[in-house]
Amino acid sequence: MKNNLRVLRAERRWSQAVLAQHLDVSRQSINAIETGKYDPSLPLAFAIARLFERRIEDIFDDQAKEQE
Amino acid sequence: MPPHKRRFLLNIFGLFIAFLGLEWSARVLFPGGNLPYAIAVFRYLLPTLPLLAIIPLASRYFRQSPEPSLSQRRIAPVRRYMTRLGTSMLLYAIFLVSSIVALDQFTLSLQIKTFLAVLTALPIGGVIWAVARFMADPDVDEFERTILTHSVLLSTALILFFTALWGFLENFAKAPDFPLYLIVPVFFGLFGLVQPFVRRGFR
Repeated sequence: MKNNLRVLRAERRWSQAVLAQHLDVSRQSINAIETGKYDPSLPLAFAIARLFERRIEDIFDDQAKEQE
Repeated sequence: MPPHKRRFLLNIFGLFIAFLGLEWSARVLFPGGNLPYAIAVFRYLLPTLPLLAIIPLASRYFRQSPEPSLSQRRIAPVRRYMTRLGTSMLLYAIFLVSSIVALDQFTLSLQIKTFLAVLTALPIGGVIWAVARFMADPDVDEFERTILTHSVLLSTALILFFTALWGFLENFAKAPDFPLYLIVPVFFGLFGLVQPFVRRGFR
C-alpha cells in the first residue's frame, strides 16, 4: 500500500533503525512498509499513526494502488 | 561482515571439522560392529558432541548481535525457540544413536523395533512443534512472521511437488528409493534456502 512513511520519517530525521526502535519492530519491516511491499497489521498502523500524530488515512493511501 | 558474525561462522566451521575428525577417528579405532554396548554408544555419540555446541554458540551470537531495533520483547521468542529446538535436537541425537546401537548390537522383537522407530521420530515432532510455536508467538515481529509463513508455504509446495515427481520417477524410470525420513531435513534445508528469496520479494 502506498504511504508517506518515508517523508514523515525524513521530517524527523530518523533512520529506518530509529523508527523501528520507536515502533518495536525490525528495521526490515520499516523498509518493506516504505516500499509498499508489506502492509502493516492494524495495531502497527495505529502505532505508526499515533507516533507521527496523524490519522491512518493521512499516512496510508489505499486508493493509490487501484488508480495505478 | 561484522566480526562477531565471522567468529560465529568460523566456530561453526570448526565444530563441523571436529565432528568429521572425531567420526573419522572413531571409524579407524572401531572399524567393525559387535562392540560392547557402552563402547558402541560412546563411539556413535562422541562425534556428535561438538555439534551440540552450536546451541550455546547460536545463543551467544543472538545476544551479541541483536539488531539495534530489536527489543528484549522481540528477542525472547528467539530464545524460547532455541531452547525448544535445542532440547528436541538433543533428544533426537540421543534416541537416534541409542536406537542405531541397539539395532546393531541386539536381536530385538518387532514390537521393540516399532517402539524405537516411534521414539526416534517423536523429537522430530518436537522440532516441528518448536517452529510452529515460534511462528504463532505474538511477540515475534509481524513482518518476520510473514516471511516465515511464506517460506513454509513455498518449501511445502516444493516438497509436495518433488515427492510426487520422485514417486513417478521411481515407478516409471527405476529411480533409486528415496528414504521417507529424509523429507524432514530436505524440508528444513529448503525452508532455509527459500527465505532470502522470499525476503527479496518484500524489498
